[in-house]
Amino acid sequence: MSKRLLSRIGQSLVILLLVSAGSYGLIGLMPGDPIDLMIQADPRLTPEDAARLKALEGLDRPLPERYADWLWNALQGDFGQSRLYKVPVADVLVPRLGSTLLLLGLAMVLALAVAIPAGVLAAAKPRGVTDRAINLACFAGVSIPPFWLALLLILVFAVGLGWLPASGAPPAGRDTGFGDHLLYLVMPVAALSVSAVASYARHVRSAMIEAMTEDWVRTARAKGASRARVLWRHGLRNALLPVTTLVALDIGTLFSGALIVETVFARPGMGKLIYDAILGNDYNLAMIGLTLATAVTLAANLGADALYGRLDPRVRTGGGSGL
Amino acid sequence: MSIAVASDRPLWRDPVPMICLALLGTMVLAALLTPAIERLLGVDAVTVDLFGRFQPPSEKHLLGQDELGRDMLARLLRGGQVSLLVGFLGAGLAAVIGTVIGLLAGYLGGRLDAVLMRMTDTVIALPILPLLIVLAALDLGKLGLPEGLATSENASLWKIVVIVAMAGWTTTARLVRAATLSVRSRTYVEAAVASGASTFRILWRHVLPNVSGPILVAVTLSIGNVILLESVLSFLGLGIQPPTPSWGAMLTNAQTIVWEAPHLAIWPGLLVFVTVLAINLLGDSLRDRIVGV
Repeated sequence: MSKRLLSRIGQSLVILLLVSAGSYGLIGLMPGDPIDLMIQADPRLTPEDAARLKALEGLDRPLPERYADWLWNALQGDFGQSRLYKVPVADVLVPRLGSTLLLLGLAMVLALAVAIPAGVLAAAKPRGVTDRAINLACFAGVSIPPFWLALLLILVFAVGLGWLPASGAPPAGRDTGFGDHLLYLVMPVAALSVSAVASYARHVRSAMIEAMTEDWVRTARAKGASRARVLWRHGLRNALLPVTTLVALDIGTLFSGALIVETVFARPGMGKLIYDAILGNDYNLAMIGLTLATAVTLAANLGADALYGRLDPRVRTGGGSGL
Repeated sequence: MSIAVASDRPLWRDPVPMICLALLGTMVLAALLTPAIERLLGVDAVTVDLFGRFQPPSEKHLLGQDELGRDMLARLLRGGQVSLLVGFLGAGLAAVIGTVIGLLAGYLGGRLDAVLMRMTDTVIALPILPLLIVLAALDLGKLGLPEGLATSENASLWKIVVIVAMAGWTTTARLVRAATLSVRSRTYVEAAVASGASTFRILWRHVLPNVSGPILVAVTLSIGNVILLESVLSFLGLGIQPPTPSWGAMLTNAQTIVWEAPHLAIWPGLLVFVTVLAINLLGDSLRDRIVGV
């Protein structure tokens, strides 16, 4: 393992710590801590009772001390109890994480499958008609409000045509096979991949244009390789290197999109869970959810970084990662 | 990061940015003239008409009525005022933050540059929406703001402006940093250093004016992102608070509306889409001509 990778891991841990500390502080500023809610629910509680309850839950102690406590417990795997679901946080979290990773994974594969050909075609003839059309489509993809796109899909395919279910997951309690589950995933995955396609295709296009100016491309041309071969074998293989990093960098955005899509399609997943936890004052759940989402994103970036080093020998000896 | 399909024609000869400008001009004009339009049509955005729930377009209500029988057109106009206002204010604030960071990182360089740019990369990479939701859910009263300010009618507007700016400054920071790097070694900056000007003066008088082009590009591009983000947060019920209409908030109930009155789900989203698309295409043309990447 290289020194560079080690320092990136260190940085990621520091970022994770900062984000969790920041969210811990902010969540304490949200309306209605658990005791406030108890007071609202039971008017007979006196201020003394409230103070005692706060002391019992440790809410009267200073914030840094409470955060240190939380961190210590979380590191030992004790995430506390979820207020909304009345079960340990890990019990709600783990299945949701799986569901979101499935959604993200499928959306990413679909997006790459569309974006790579689109980006290569656009770069084949920069400023050409195809390039302009793809460019416009990309702009449309990043400009469309994701929740509205999801609504339109529901409007057309569920309300209008009746082909697909309007929700993003089978109703609870119904034991359905994987094929049936896929049917529920079609619209969420489609809605999530549109903006990803747009941003990936731009990455591929600019990486391709860059790669096509390289010496080896000229050599390949001079040796009489066909246009398609130069484009797909010589250009794309090199262009995919920078694209790996950029796609990993977009995972955070993709996760934000998953939150929206899960909310519109009422699909139980991490994003919707975090959203519900924040709105429902479920502090423990919100904290772990936020931290986990950040950790997944950082890990994906680290993974891409490590992969990049493997794929491109020049990086292994190189210094800083630059921009 | 070239996205642009470069063009050598001057801006006013290129149909795409001109169409975008005309569209945006119409939007701004409609937002400014909203009170007059409302008076002309004899409708407003707040009158509830429970007998007119989900009514299709009629002579009096040109775009129909929503789930409380309010006039759809008037609500769209009022929502447009809010979205554009948040867009301009948010992008403006984001530009200020991004410019300061970009100037400092680009001009001073060294370790500060490394730290600031690592911070920018981190903000770009993080799952930003869940974190913004926490911010949006904050109780301003607990922050120690005076009661009147924290609960005032405009509090949700200002809160959303600050929140979207916190997510939107990264584009500006990167573009300004890159431009500052190229300006830093110019002779006029050297001359200013040689004549003993302070760092602040050099940045303010010599560097800033020469990076104003990239700033303009970044601001244009971030207005679109800011409007999009505002619509998302308002859709999730965390942005502009009812009864103030905003395009995103008008779709909050749309999941139930799609079954009863699908036409209500079309307009607000379409307006966000068209506005953001026009701004982005315009920003792209500007980038093409000013930054030249």
